[in-house]
Amino acid sequence: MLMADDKTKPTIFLDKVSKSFITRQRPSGVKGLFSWGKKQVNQAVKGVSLTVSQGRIVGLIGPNGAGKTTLLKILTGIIHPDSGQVSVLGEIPHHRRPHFLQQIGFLMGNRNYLWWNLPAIDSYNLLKIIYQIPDDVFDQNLKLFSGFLDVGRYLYDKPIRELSLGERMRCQLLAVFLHLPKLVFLDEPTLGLDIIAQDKMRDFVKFYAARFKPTIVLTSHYLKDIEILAQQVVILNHGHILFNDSLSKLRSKVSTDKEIVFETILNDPGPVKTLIKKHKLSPYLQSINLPEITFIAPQPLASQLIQIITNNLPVSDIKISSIDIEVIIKRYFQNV
Amino acid sequence: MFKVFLRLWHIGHFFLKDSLAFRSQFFISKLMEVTSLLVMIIFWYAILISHGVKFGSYSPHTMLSYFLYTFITQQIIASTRLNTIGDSIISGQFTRLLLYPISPLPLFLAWEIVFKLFSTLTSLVYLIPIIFFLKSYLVLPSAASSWLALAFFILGILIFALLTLIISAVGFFSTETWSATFLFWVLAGFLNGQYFPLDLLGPALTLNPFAYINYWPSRILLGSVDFISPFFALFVGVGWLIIIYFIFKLVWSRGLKSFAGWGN
Repeated sequence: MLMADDKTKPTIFLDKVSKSFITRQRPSGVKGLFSWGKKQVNQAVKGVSLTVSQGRIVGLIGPNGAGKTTLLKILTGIIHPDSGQVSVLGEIPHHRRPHFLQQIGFLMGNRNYLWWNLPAIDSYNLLKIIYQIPDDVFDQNLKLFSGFLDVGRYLYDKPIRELSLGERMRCQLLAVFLHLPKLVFLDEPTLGLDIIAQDKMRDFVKFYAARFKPTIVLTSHYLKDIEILAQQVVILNHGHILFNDSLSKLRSKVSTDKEIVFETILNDPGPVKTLIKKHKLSPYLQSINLPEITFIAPQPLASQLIQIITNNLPVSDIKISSIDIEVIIKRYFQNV
Repeated sequence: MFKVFLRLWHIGHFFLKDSLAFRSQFFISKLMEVTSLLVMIIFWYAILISHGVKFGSYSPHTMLSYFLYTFITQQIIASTRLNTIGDSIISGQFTRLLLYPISPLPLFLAWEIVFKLFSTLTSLVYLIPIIFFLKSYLVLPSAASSWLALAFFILGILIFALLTLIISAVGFFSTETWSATFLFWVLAGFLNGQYFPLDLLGPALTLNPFAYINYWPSRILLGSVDFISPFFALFVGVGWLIIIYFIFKLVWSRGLKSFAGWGN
């Protein structure tokens, strides 16, 4: 599944990769003590084929249990695939050759990458030794990245365990990028962060991508991360790839709908409801949160809808936009 | 080569820093060591020296020395941080080590060696005065036996580290390591000569792999060994080291293959 503009050797190449986990479901209580339990095979990744070329930012999305993290673990060599062919940066990841590991960075949003009882700077110094980062490069990157992520204040004194989640995540992000990886995997990098911290993380990833041109594979349940950062979207469900293309292609595939928000000067929803009933607009109505009324309608109907509303209600402003990525993905899953 | 060594030294130094993040805990553990050593000396002094009890070829003074030396070997050879790896496999923290561009074994050994050096140096603070105070009751090693003992110490450290890593690998196959680890070290505690000189039960028992953790280094420090050649014991020990290394390789390669990277 090569993208149209892929001309160079791919950074990531997966061919019919599968991975399953065996679990045992034991009866609860004392009964469970005397039973091996029923063997269950959970097929996390099923025959996935994917190609990502150098320098792209790929958003991997899908519901919980879709196989996103398992796929990232295969790509980083943490786990071995059961079958299929995997090549990342020209290497087989689970051979874990130092040359390969030297070029990748992996942030797991739900896992602590730094050493819990020590200040972040100690973990960075360890990474400096392990990745053999020259002194000047280390100092330069630390200064640049800590300034960008605004973490300079708590790098030296506070152990990681005493930092807030947002501070910790920013410190972790810095650690992942410190050795200037060519290929970065970000698994839920904005998990549990407030809006400001999320923005900082996204800005940093954008900055790094623009400056160092790495390949980035990103998973996130905050689809805004994908919308802002990713050039290529891969939708994964039940271990299968359902879609692999650009976000604009996904939009056009799912729908050409527009979101239309009318700002009125009404205090009473009564006239709005009457008008909607009269013109049979309820299938397009999303919400009435006065002073705002929101509709989602197919593009050909949008102008007709605007005419009806503006002719009959006191409208002070109209906003028309493409529908939100969350709605697109929801619709995509409803259609498959 | 020097660069590699320096790199491992720095890594070991970092892990030591992490181990000492809670300094009070470290000082309390040292206090525990001193207390248990004093209790042991008083106990065996009362039984052996005061009553002149003799076990086989072991005179009261030799026996007291043996127990003191097994305590020292326990502090040097069997003090470890590698026993936390099993839990880190289960908790998922082990994953970060797999991402480092350095294979886990040298990383573990660097960690272990620096920790042992520090632990030994800090133990000397109380061991030197105690040995000085008890010197008239002890059989002190000669220069020749000290050098031979050093070879057994190195062998013991390597065997112990690999055995600890093998038992830690239980974490790859089970969600609980505690019971298996406990069972393993109870057996090892019996076979390593920590509680009694193994040759009292027959020379054959002295050639088991666990004997290199406590028995052999302590026995060599006591001086002449008449029932078996120490060099033969050293040769057998190296054989065990090779076998244990291959078991370690096998268990860990299977473990890493089945590693699912669960945890938080």
